[in-house]
Amino acid sequence: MLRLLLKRTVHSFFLITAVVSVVFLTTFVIGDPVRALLPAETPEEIVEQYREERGFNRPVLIQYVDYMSHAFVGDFGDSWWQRTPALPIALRPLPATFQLGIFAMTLAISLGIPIGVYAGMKPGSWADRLATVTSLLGVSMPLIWLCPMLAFIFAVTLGLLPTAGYGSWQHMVLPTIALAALPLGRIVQITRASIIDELVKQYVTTARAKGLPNRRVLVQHVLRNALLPVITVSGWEFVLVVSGYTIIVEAVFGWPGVGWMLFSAIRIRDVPLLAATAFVIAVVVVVINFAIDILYIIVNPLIRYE
Amino acid sequence: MTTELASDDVTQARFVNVRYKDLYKLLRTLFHDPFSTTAAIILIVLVIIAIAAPVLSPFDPTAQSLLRRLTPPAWVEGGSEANLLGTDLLGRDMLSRIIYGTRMSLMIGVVVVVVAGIIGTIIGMLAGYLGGRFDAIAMRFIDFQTAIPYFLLAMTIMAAIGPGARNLIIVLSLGSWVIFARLARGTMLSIRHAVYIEAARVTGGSEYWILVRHALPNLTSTIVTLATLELSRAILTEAGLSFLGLGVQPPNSAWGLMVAEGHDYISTANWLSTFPGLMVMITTLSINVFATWLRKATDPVQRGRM
Amino acid sequence: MGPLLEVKNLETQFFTKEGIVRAVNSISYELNTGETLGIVGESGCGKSVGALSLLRLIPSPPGKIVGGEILFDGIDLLKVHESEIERIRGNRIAMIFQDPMTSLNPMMPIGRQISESLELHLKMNKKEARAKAIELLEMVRIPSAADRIDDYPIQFSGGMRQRVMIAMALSCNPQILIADEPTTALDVTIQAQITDLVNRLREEIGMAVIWITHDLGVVAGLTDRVIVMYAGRIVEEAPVEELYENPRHPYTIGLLGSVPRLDEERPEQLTSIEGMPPDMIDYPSGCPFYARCTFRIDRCLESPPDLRAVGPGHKAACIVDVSASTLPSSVIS
Repeated sequence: MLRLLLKRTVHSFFLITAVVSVVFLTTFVIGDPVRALLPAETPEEIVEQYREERGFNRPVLIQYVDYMSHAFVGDFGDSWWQRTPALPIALRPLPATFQLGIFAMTLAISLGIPIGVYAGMKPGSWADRLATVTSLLGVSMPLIWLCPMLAFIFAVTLGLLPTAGYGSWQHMVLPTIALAALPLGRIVQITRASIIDELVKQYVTTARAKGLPNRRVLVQHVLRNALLPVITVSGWEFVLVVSGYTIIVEAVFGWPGVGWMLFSAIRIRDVPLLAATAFVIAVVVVVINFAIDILYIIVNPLIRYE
Repeated sequence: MTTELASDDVTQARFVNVRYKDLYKLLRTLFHDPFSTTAAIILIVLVIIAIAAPVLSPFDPTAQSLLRRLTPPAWVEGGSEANLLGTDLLGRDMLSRIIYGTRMSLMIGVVVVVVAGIIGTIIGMLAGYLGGRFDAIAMRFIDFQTAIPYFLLAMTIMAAIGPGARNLIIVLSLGSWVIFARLARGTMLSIRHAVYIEAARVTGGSEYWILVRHALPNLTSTIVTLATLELSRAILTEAGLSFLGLGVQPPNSAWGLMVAEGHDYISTANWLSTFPGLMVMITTLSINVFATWLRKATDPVQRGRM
Repeated sequence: MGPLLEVKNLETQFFTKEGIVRAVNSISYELNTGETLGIVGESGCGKSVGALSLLRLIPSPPGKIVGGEILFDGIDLLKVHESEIERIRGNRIAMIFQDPMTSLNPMMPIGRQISESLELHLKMNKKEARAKAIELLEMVRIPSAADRIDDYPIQFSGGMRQRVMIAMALSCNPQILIADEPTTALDVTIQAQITDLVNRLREEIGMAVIWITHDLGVVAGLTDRVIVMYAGRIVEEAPVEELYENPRHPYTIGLLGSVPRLDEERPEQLTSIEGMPPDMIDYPSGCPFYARCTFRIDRCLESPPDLRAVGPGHKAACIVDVSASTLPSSVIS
């Protein structure tokens, strides 16, 4: 168990390093940060002078070490846009994203597990068909289409909710639904498969032979076994939500979260802000992974013996 | 197994036999299931549209006509027979743009899957077969890359190297090959010591020969299933990046780009984003239905974990 | 007093895509209080399905009990409400299974798995149930039971797990224990320990045992009476000694021919039965053993033979009057 957590810690360290390195590689090696920073018609001498001043003419490896050593104390330089340190700017939208992500995951899990369990218990039934359709639609759903459609139906046509923005609970409804759709599909799929796998196991017959009513067999014996893969998959989905889906959802609904910040940083070519936002997302991913590991250990007592 | 090791000819004959019989059975099960049949037909139609785009599209997809801009679809009031699906902001024919968009999106998706599939499978097979240091390094790298959020990575790199179809293919392939490599390695490991490989070794086949002639047929079904799923993911990611302005650029047509162009007009001209978005949905849904069938048909043991 | 358990014309089928699998075809037998009954047959003969049917534990769908009666203590187990049979399962009729590695819930401490029945059927509170569970573990000779009660199945060996299963099954002092090949997956030495254990506890509790196995050797020293099953039917039923000395069905004769015996005066060559059991979906209309039988005559194809008395307490489902002495030489050689 300790070894697992230790391994995870080392892994997390490398993950964050890798993300920051990729940003460094793309912006400082492939791209030219000086050209990006200065207006296009700047004379060559001034560009060179600027390069010299900021140390952009040093060997790449030295720049990299220098950059990483600053990055690890959270120093990504000043945002070119706001002229203040980039990290605090990148951290500011975090609560908005968490709010959305946690609501979406709660929705997906609280709908997905019951649907998946029910479908898995009765393969071939109408509930199972519904679950199959839900999961297929969920995993095939293009967010770039779902988001405008939700906005069109609920905001434009029915006028029930605002099309975009941030503030009241009404603003949260559509982005939450959009963000929950994909994880919902995946969770239904894995729960159903897992329940089907468990129900044919011998220990289920043993439990029934003891005289336990079916409901108790399910709740006390099957669920705990069946939910282990569901926890793992939910964790992956949560990671995808905060590091991928949310970028599109926040862009469409004008939700001021980290995804929106990342997109904005790219659009306005603010390299320090981009790096800081990518760093924040990487840290969030690491935190989610840790949380999932701990949850897994709590639910699965056997991990101690593996 | 107590039977003696089969001679090469016998093993080979058995392989071929099984595969033809399987193909026949496979097709039979396909046509027994209406959903998978529909999905397969849709996919075939999409491929035909993509290939025959210049013949099928009624107009030049880039031809502008400001007089005819924002014409609604033919069945809506104010629509015209000439532009079945209406026209966009610049008066370009939507149907023609969707047809060319099909070509672009499918082309990018297929090229990505082929490139990533070939590179990933080769590296994965080598890692699984050779073991040792090569395997260790490859696996470390693969683990690493899998941990980095895919969409974040793709966005950052696209921002640095610039948008466009060619760069999209590079970035999406970079993100996809590791999954093929992981699968190929796993399968390779599990069959490395399988009886028939031993048989081939005993009867004096060269290493290369063993690898190609024996392992590849076994990998085919799992790789094909994975490829369909990755195709759906590549199309969705491409659409997402194009939507954010980091993918296919105007005046080219791509579904994601078209949804983005129509996004601001969702309340007044919803056909601008509805149809291209629907195309993404239909394509990914068909691919996923097809993949589900394929997985069930070729490997009943494998569970839906993808 | 009538028999404790009376099975009449039990029929269980599985409704699969390929067709209806006739797993159990109209079997009837009785079990008396305190008696040990052996049910013998090769794998797929319907002996396990028949046993699971007694407690309505057939996975449904695809399985279904399509006919018959199971009278236990005057009530028909096939007719009572689900909640009624739940009160009987694990309480008055208990069951142990073949593979101890998978029969226990891997995620639940073994003590909890035992005390669960105690709380359910005997209405014990948590504390009492736990104390009783330790007692039961001691009864099945788990060393330092009090320390191991919170261990998980993964920490036990196969033999130990089967002991836990037995403790679990016997927790409510059942009147009947159904043992479905409980020793098949175990080492030979462990097998003997488990059979001894069950035998000893049977005497202590005074319960009846239905011992299901494919191994005639196991049945010999353990049971009072034996039923031989083939293709979902009972083909022979006899007191155990009678069955060994005077088998009256060609299948039983074949089976006995394939049991190695140390007490034989002249060690004969082990024989095996040629051919395969019939297709359970496309079920033969005549005697199911016809295709493999050395005594077959044309009349065997007319209808499946009923069990008929061939001696005191001895029945066989064969229209030909066969015994080991009439065995054609071709079978022995």
